[in-house]
Amino acid sequence: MKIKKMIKKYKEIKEDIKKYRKLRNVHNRVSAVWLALKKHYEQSGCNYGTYESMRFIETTYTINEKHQIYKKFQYHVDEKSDLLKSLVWISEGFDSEKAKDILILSSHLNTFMNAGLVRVDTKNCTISMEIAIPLLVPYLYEDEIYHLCGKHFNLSKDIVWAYNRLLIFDDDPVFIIIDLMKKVDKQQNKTQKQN
Amino acid sequence: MNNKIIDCPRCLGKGFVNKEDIKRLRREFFWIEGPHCAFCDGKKHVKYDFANRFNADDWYITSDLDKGKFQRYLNEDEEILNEIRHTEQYIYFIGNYIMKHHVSRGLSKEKVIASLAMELQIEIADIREDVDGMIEQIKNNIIDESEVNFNKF
Repeated sequence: MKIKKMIKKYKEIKEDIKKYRKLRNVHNRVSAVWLALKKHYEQSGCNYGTYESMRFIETTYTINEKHQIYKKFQYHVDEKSDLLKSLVWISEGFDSEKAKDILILSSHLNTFMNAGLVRVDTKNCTISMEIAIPLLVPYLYEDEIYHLCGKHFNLSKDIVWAYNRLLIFDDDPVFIIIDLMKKVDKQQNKTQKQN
Repeated sequence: MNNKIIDCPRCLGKGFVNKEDIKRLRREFFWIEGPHCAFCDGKKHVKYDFANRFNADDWYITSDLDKGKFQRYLNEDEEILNEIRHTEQYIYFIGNYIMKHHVSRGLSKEKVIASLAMELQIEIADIREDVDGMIEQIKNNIIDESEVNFNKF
């Protein structure tokens, strides 16, 4: 029992030293996170494209159960802002007449979300949603790349649902948000009951 | 054996076709749910011979089908069979094009119509009705709210 505790302690100390060494070489974080991101995608086995000079990876994921709706996802090691960004393209060319409703919905969603930011470009008529974390986090804890990708993917399904109702079903943004809130509450109540 | 009656393989003996039947038979681009099954004529049962000759997912056998054309189809008229083959290819092309560009990429309907007309080298007005119809089919049969898993924000 004592030996097990000692081994555990030894492992913890080893991890701390490893992180301390990493912190001393913190200027290498861009290349280290980029390598870790590529390694993560190599191991995932999915199809993706790598843009080495810009340090981003692009892939498509299906967001419905029957694999009929696809969205383009990008993961970017941004040296300028010192962030690891995960981005999904929701619309690559919306109807400019809907810009007002799109902006209303995005502002509601941005208030509603803890993490994530919906960006609307009215000039190019595009909508994207991104989550970003400081590069230091995945530099010290590589698993954070996996968590970021998973969290962003799950969130993007809800955002895509909301925008599909606006862009395809022509629903009013206020009703979309009300429905979304009701469903999130319902889901939370269900989870609480299960726990 | 020839006179044997079986449950309709399309509507599974209900007498009408619903969304689940359309999804099961993968005819999302072709049909919408309705109160009358064209395969059994709403009778819930079909002759074994008929079910053996035609597949339950035969997209051409629908409630609004012209009787004259249906008879020609039953008689395996070459002209009708060619027309059906071409129409099927056209519907699949339009459906997949809309799924890719309108639903997945989120391009506006007008942009999709313009690029599709350019690709097929036809006038926008000639294709608008088909695109509108297909978008309605996709909204009814594919984009289903229940498929979304709501997660905590």
